[in-house]
Amino acid sequence: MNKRGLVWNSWTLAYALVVLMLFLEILFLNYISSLNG
Amino acid sequence: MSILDWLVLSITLLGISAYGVYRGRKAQSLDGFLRADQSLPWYHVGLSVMATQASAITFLAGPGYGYAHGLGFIQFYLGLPLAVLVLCISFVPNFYRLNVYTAYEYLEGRFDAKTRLLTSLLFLVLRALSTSISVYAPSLILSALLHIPTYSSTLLVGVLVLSYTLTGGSKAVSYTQVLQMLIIFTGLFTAIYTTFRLLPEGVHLAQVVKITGAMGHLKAIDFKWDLAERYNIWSGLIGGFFLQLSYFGTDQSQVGRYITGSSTRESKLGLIMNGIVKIPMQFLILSTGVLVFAFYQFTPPPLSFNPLIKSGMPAGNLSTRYAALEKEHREAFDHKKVTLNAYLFPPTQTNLKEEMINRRIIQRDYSHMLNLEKKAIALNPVKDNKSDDSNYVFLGFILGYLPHGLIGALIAIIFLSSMGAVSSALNSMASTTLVDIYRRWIGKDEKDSLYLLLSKGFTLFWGLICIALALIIGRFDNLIEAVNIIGSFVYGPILGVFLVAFYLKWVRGNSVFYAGILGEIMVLLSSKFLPVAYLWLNVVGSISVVLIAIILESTIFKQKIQSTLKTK
Repeated sequence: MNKRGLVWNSWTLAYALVVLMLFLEILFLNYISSLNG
Repeated sequence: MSILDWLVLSITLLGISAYGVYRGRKAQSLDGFLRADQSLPWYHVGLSVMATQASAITFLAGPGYGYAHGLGFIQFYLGLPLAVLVLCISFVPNFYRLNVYTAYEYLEGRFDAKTRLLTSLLFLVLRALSTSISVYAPSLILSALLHIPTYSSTLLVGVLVLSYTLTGGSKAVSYTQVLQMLIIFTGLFTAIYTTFRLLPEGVHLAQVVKITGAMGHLKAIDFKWDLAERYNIWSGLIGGFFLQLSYFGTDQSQVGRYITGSSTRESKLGLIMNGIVKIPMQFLILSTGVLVFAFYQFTPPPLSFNPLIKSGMPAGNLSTRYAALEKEHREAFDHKKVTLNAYLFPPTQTNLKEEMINRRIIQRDYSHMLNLEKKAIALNPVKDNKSDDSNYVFLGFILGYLPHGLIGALIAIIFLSSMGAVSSALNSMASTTLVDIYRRWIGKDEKDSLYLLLSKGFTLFWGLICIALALIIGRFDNLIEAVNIIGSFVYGPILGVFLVAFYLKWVRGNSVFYAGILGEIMVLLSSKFLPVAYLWLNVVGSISVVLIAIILESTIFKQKIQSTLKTK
């Protein structure tokens, strides 16, 4: 793997992490919303 | 406020300002003053970007919103992580490649001078308005605390911020913001912990969840597709994406923060940090409000949180009516509390039917209390006192129930967040005025030292303008929304211009300039005639500009070029 490819891959991972976190945050918020007493 | 609180507050505010002056003492060049010599690491960028977005409004009206409406406002931020991705892929590399001081400088290279001028002027107007709200918000605190007129506290905040922004520029702004964010996080966690401890014996997280859930305060996500609904997941993800992208990508107060990163890598990592931490942070702020709401289910809340409503009531008939409302409010609370105890701690085996009945009684009593609160505010004859009462909730709670020392620290946090946002704004307005207006149109090739001096002059100029505006702007109903609504009118079209710049390379200056103006008209018309919530206006503005620019480029301006060629 060349250097350019490696850099690109690590950024892709970072971006994927951001999307994953958003997904988990929405799941969590949705769970909280379901607690209606 | 005790002497201890005043001590904590003064030491924190003066300490931070002095630290800013100290850190910025070496900013003796234009690059140092406007971009901190592009020398900062990613965590500086990340915390600085967060401190810029989190103003005092976030810490006053944020928990207030949580208290009054629950967690729903969190949806406003759902588009932010997605916007961060586009920023990292397109915006940051472009700004770094052209080594710009401001976002608008980029537009002249890509389009023409008039597009740059239009966007920078729009930015200056919008930022001056939003900043004046950021100065006004904490002035509510001081005036309520010290019983002094709002303007004196506005002046004090203005002077503190100017002290280090004027001397140290971007570096002072960034260093103070890092410290501010650390203090803010610590204070917020301490506030939540202390509030929990103030709840009556036997009331734990499970009971807090049960009661706040029953009152609809835990509804964080709403999946219903409704364009008129202010906050739901769709307006948050789609409208919020466009709003956050335009805010972070085209608002110089943010661009000016992340171009201080020592490389694109540091800048991108800082933004990614913001994309991951922002939603949990807002959740924390809104949860504080929900927790305060839980607290006031066991302790009687005042009829109005704004102390001026009661104290400003003229003696005679109105005061008597206010006192009667207060009595009725208290009775409704007492009635609710009895039912609440039965609901939370049923004496016998849980009976589902009985539980539902109790729940309905609690909800009914609560809405009765809300009606009385509205009536009380409507009674007050002074117009200034009719601003949204929820803005006073968190402040009232801090002052009334938290231990001394912590009161001073939390009030310091409210000030610090305001100072963080205002300092970024002043620095960015100075950058734009110098780079996009003065250096572009008035004095092109002058000495760096003169530009530095002028940057300081513009910082002072905008500081004074914002203070002046802050003195007259305090008549909006809800502060958070006022800022966002103003933003939604202007941000969308500016984002459209940048999107065309990055993604439609064949579209040129004239098309995008007129598309920008027509896009702004589209936003104004939509807000007037379409039943859409304000977050959608960002989508309307951005997409209109992109579409109109494409149409203009392939019709009117295409013909113009052909006819010019024919004449030649």
